[in-house]
This record gives sequence, structure tokens and C-alpha cells, in this order.
Amino acid sequence: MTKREPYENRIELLQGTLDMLILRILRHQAQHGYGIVQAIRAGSDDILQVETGSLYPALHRLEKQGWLKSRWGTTENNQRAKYYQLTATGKRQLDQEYSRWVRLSGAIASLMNPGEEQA
Amino acid sequence: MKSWWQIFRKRDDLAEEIEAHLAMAERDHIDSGHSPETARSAVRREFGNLTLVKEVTSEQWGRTGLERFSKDISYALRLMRRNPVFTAVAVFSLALGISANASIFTLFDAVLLKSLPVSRPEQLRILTWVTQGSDPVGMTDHSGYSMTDDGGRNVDGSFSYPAYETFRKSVPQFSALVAFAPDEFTVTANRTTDFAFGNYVSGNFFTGLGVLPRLGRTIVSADDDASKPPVAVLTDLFWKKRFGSDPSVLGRVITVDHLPVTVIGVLPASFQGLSPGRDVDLFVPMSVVPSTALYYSLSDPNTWWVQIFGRLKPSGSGAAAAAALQSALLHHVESYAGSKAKGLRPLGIVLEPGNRGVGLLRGGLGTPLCLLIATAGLLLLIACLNLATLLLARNVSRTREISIRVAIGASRRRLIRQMLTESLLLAAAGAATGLILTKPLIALLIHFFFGDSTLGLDPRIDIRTLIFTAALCVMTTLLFGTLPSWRATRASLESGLKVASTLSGGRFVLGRYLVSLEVALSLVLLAGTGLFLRTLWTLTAVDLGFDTSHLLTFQTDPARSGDKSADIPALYDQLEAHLRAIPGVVAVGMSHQALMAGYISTAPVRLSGLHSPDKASWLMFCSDSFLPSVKIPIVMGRNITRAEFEKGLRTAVVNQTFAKRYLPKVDPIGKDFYMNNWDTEKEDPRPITIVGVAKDAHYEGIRNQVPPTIYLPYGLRARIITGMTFVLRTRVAPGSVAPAVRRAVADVDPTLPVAEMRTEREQIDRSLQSERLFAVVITSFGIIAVVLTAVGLYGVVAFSVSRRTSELGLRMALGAARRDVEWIVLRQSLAIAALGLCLGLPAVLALTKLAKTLLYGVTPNDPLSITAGVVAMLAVTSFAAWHPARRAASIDPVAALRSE
Repeated sequence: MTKREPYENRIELLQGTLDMLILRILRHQAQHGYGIVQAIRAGSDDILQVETGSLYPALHRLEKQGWLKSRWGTTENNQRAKYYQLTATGKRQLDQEYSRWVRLSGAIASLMNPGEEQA
Repeated sequence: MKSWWQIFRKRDDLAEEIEAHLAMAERDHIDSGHSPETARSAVRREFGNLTLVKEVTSEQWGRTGLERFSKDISYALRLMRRNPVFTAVAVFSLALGISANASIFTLFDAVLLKSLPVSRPEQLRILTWVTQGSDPVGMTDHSGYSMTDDGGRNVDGSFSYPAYETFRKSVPQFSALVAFAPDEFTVTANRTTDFAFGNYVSGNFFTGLGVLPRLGRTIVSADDDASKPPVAVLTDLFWKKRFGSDPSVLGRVITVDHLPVTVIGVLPASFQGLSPGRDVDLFVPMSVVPSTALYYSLSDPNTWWVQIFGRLKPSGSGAAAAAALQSALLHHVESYAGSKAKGLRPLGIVLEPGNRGVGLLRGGLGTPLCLLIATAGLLLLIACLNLATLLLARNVSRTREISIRVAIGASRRRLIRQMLTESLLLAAAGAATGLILTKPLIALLIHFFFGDSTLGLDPRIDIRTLIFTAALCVMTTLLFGTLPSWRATRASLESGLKVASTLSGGRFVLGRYLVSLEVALSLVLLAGTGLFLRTLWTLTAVDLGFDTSHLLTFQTDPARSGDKSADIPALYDQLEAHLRAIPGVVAVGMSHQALMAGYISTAPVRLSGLHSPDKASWLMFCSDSFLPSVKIPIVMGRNITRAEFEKGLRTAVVNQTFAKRYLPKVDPIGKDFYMNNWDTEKEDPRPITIVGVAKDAHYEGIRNQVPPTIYLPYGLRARIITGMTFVLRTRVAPGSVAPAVRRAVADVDPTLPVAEMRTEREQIDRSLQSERLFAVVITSFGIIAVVLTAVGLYGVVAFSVSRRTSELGLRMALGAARRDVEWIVLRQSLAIAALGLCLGLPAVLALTKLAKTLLYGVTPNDPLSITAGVVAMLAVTSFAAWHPARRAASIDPVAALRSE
């Protein structure tokens, strides 16, 4: 596990958050494990770095639950890799989780700053 | 459930997937300037513990049944290691129970269930003929087995040899018809002569049955030829006994009934002929019959002696075969009996299934074996109950562990499955240990049941025993494992993660009921012990009517050694003189068969003055010295004299039962009676005079009543009786003169066999074999059962005390004396025992009735045995509860209350 910055955002986010991020990344495009890690890093400006120790169990768990499906493919560099993509149920799950997350974070925000308006 | 193959593939896939990830990460590192080596190590470090990641990921796939099972097994093994005492007790008690059952089952299987060791035994049929009353036409001589079936018909298995030859020619439904007949031989080999038991067999016997030799070759049709030198095949038993398993016996010439015979082969250990019941020593071809058989004939159609087995062709039907045999037999009889055959009732042919041989043995042993199995089953049940109780107690301390497992997601079914696996492992360990005990146990049982012989059986631990043991294993697991597992997981769901303090197991009611059940079953075994010990005691205490100490007996037969026309009195004189000369021998007597050996000779006699010869009498043909040697006293009149014995004069001594029953209220001395002449089969006109009355003595066995017996001079016997049993009264230990006896007989005639030499005490012990077996087995089981019950009781009471520490402490703090607390504990255990006894008594009363036929001198509901059992159980109960009671009394009330 690398500590690139003092602020460790190890995704001890509840397990569900990592799942949600993975599903989001895969919403429009199939991707392999390494690609997902890079996408999360890039999409969060290097703030969120997924531990591979959590990623692969999550990917396989999501696949077992039927929200992802996988197939073998080749990368641009002719590397054989396993690509994951969202299933229909996975899409529905993503929407559900996102709306739950929005409600949750809104509640936390209003608790942290009661009465103040967002700047 | 995933298959192994799928799991391998998934693992491979995952490895490849992760390799791809690492490769891509490496490439990126190299692209951004690192060297390949730095890239590789950095990537791997970033990734983390490869193995752990793979492990955790693969867990996401869910576990297969097999994976779960192996995890359960390793957990169970850990548990067993952590509780060595418990494991040892459990495994040991299961081992005892399972080995007892497995050994008795093996015996049961060998005696009652197994097929003959021949090829395709289901194709074999035994030929029997059936009549309603009368004998077949012209049959004058008959040897072999016959019996009356339930319909009053006479069923018989003996045919004449010409009939056998006719069958072979004219009945096509059989692919082979084999014939055999038993006979006694004397065999001289290595300069010793001894009795042997063998079969005459047809040339196609071994090939027809599909029996292959272990050494050499078997008899074939070419050997069954009178013009060729005779051959013999030995059984494995005889080969071991007589020739010490020496392979050079092949080709050796031995003497069979003074006929030189070449040994051509040795049979495998499992084959002992088609008629289990006696140890068979050798097989010879039919062609030998005219030289050695006294009562058999190959040519006379009126002598019926040969037993026939047929192998039915796969296409043949039994009914067609029987019909063909019947008509063939009819034609055959007509061909020699001519007109006499007509008008007589026809003979029916019945084909019995032959896969188990001629089944005379099975009947007599059925009940005893069933009883033994039942007893062993009871013992196993007690062991299982004990184990269930112990498991119930132990599981109480596992509540916390179980709750945690439930919390992290284990279903109840999963938990039960795991606990059953633990139980299965215990049972398997018990079964494996038990199997080690089984072999010596079987040997012990056989020794007790059958003495030195194996009775032609081959009980061995084979696949059937193993299957039975495995089935027992599973059954016992379910028996003792289900309840504790079910109970433990139920308790966990209710109490959650709370620390268990006063669980429903506090009073441990279930455990107490189980132990009560054990007490009940133990009572049954104890009652059985009492009954069989008393039976044995009573039997050994019966006054047999003669002095059984210091008596040595042996059998010989001058006819078998070639002295066909021997002058018996002269031979006897010589033998008697030599035997008397042995130091330590006080008296020598002789009779035609041994006392107390299970043999009987009977004949009807007609008392003079009466018309019908209907007084059945047991006969003993003996020398004048017989009665004095065995010390049967004469109470009236006199014994037969030396002269009367030597000349075979027509005088006799009768016993008291004869006199009382047939000549009541008159003086029997001087009365006459008539017997049939053995040769003419008509009544002999010369009367036999009673000269004395002897005290009653048992004749064939202890259980039978004393029969009306007549002691006659040996010369009056039928000519076909040639055996002589000598009895020697000794001053010293009778066994010690045995070698001198052999030398003395050899001095007179080296070809005279000396057989069945034993002391009279041994003879009587032999006749008590199965009673001794029962007494030993049931007593051992009773003791084991009591020990197990005591252990169970101790466990339950100790556990209960430990749970009630605070309550008892409180009592003592409030003023109860130590003695009172002891009594509370004792009372609880007595209550358990009392419940068990209440359950057990009706069971005892009902079950002991089943053993009625095996008992002697005691009623099945013998009050003494039952009371003794009850008292014993109460004593054991008190003893088992003593230690926990003392522990309870020594509770420090203050400490107990504080810990509450």
C-alpha cells in the first residue's frame, strides 16, 4: 500500500462506496481492473487510490451478484486482460446506490453546517 | 456446487488476470522512466500480498461443499486435539461398541448369509426327493440327511449312484451335475495315523463348481477312474494342521484307509465342501468308493447315499429341470425294479437353492447369534447415549463461539453440518480403532463357539464387514450427534452474544433423561448377565451320575486301520493290558461311543410278556470294566462279567430310569427283553437278561434328562459299529498320561488311530461351549455398560453441580450443613437412576423372555438376577455421584456468592 500523500484516503469507505465507484466507472465503457484503478485515480485527481487488495475481491463479488459481467479481451498493447462491464441490473443498482449516497451525504452536510448556506 | 475442474479454471483465470494487471502497471512505470527491475519490484509492492489477495478474492466465489467439508474436518481435528480426554473417552467407548457389533456381524454373515465360495453360486441347485411317508422303491441302504418338512413330507437329499449317472446323461437343463458324499477316513502320513473327515466327489466336482486350487491341481474327470492310481486333494485346514503348510506335499503318497493315494493339490482356505458343519480334510474321487467305503456302492441302485448339486444353465428353468429329473428318475427306477415300480407313489423332485450349501448348520445357531447381536447393539446404544450426554455438556461452553459464528453469517444448517462433521470424525476414529479390535474378537468368539474347529466356515473381515462398520459409523453419528448439534445451535440463536450464565442447560434436564435411558439399558444387560451366569452355574453343578474328575478318554477304530476281521476281545485285551500298565492309570474301560459327547444310539426293545417293541432305550455297548471305570455304581444285582463281555453273552445292566419306567413295582433282575437283530432286521428270538440296575447317569449332555439306558456287552452291537472309546481313570492329572497312552496304543498296533483324546472335564466343558460364550460376552458387556453409565452419570452430576454452585453456596450460607448439600446432589443422581430403573424393569421383563430357550434352571424373570441388577445399578450410581457430592459439600459459600 503506497502512501503518496499525507491524507490517506484508503477506501475504508463503507464497502458499498467502492462498489458504487466501480459501477460508475463501468457505466459507459467496459474496463479491466488496472484500468479501473487508473480511472478512479484520474477521476478524483489522485485523491482516491484504490487498494488492489480491495478491488479484486470487489470486482468478483459484484460479478457473482450479477451486476457485472466479464470477458477476456486484448488491450492496445496486445496484453490479454479481463474486461468487466455493467449489466442491466448493475445499472439499476448503480442508480439506487447513487440516490442513497446523495441522501446520506446531504444529511451529513446539513448536520455539519446547520443553517449555513453552501458557498 | 462447483466442480473441482471449474475451481481450477477460475484459479487459473484469476492468476492470469492479476498477471495482466501487474504487466500493465509495470509497462506504465517503465514508460515513466523507471528501469524494468525497479518497475517490477515497485509494482509488486504496490499490489500487496499476492497470495492474500488471491485468497480473499477466491472466497468471493462462495465455497463448494467439498471445501466446506475439508474446512470442517480440520476444525474438528483441532477441537479433538484441544480436548484429549474427552476424545479418548469418546473414541474408546465407540470402538468397543462398534467392534463388538462388527465381530458378531461377521460371524452372523459367515454362518447365515454368505454364499459358497464357488463361481456363480446363484445357479446352483440342491437335488432332493420328496415322498409322503414311504421310501423309494427298493431302497435298502440310506445314508445322508433327510428331514420332515412342515407338510409332513419326507425330504431327502441322497440318491443312488446309478441314478446320478442317469441324470447326467438325460437331463440337459444342467450345465453340470456334481455328486459328493461324506465319510470318515484314517489317514497315515509322516508315520502318524489319525482320523480324517472327507468327501468322495465326482470327477467334474471342482470344474463344475468353478473352484480353483491354491496349490497343484484339483480332481478332474480323468482321475475318477478305477484303473488309475487314486489321488486326493487336501483342504487348506488339513494342509496346515497335518503337513505344516509344506508345499512338498504335492506328489507325496499318503495312506487313506490303507489305500495309497497321491496328493495332487491343496484347496484355498475358503472352500470346505458343499455341506458346512464339519471341518473337511480331503477330497477323493468316487472311484475310491469300493475300496474304502463301508456303506456306499457305485453299482447298487438300491443304496442311496450320494448328494447331488446341479448348475442350472442360464437358459434353463428350475421347473423344467425338476420335471426332467423326475421323469428320468422314474424311468431309471422302472428299469431295475420293473413291475414293482408301478402302483407306488411317485417321487417328487424338488430343487432347493444351493448358493449357501446344505444348510444344516444354520438352524441351530440362529437364535444365539441374534441374541448376541442384540446385546452388542444395546452396548453400542449405551455408548452413543453417553456420548450424546457428554457432547451436550461440552456444547454449553461453546455457546459463545457459536453465537459469533452466527453473527458473521453462518446459517443454522451450516452450523449443524459442521457439528455433525465433528461427530462423524469421532465416530470414524472409533470405527477405525474398533476394526483393529475386531479381528482378535472374532477369533475369541470362534474359539468359544466352536472350539478348535472352524466348522467349515470362513469368517473373515472382508468388504461386507467394512460396509457394515461404515454403516454403523454413520448411524452412531446420527444417533449421538444430531441432538447435541440441534440443541446447541438453537440455544445460540436465542441468547445471541450474551454471556451464557443460567442457560436452559443449567438444569441439564435433557442430559439427565439420556442418562436415565442408559441406566435402563444397562439394567437389561445386567439382568442378562445374572441369567446367563446362573445358567452356567446351574449347568456345571448338575450331578451327571458318574465321577467326571480324573478321566481321560480317546477314540479308536480297528476297522479303519485294516483289521476288518479283527478279534475285538483279543485286541481289547492287549490294549487294556498296555494301558493299565501306564503309571497313574487305575482303571480302563471301553464303550462304543463317548459319554456326554452328544452322540446317541437308541433302539426299541420289547419286554417279554408284552407284544409291542415300543420301549425306546438308549444303548451303550461296553466292556465289563466300563461302569466301574466311570464310577457309575450298581444299585441292584451285579455288573456284567468279564466272560459275558468277552463272549458277547446276552446279559445287560439297565439304569434306574429304565427300571422305574418300564418295569415298575417289580424286581427287574432276571427279567428278559428282546431287541432286533441288526443283520436280519427282525427281532432276535434270543432274549437278553437283565442282571443289574445302575444308578442314573447322563448320557449325551447336561441339559437333557436321563434317558432309559441299557448297558450291553460290546459283542452284542451291530457289526457296522467299529469304534471304541476308551476311558481311563487316573490317579494323577488325566492330561499328563496322554503321551503314554499314545505310545501304548502304538505299541499294540501302530496303525490304530488315536483320536479325540481329552479329559472328561474338557469334554463336558465343550458341551457347555455356547453357554460359556454367552456368560462371558454378556458379563463383559454388562461391565462395560455399567462403566459407561457411571461415566455418563458422573459427567451429568458434576456438570449440574458446577452450574448450581451459587445456589448451593447460598444454601450453605443460610445454614445448610455440608451433609445436607451432599444429600441434595446424591438425591439428584438417585432420581436419575430411579427413573432409569422404572423404564428398564418392564424392558427387562419383556426382553428376557426371548432368551428362554438358552437358559437352564432359571426362569427368564428370575427375581434374584433382576434384584441383583437393580442393587448393582444403585450402588454404581451412588459411587459415581460421590465425588461431585463431596465437591459440592466443599463449596466455599462466600466465594460462590461473590462470583454470582
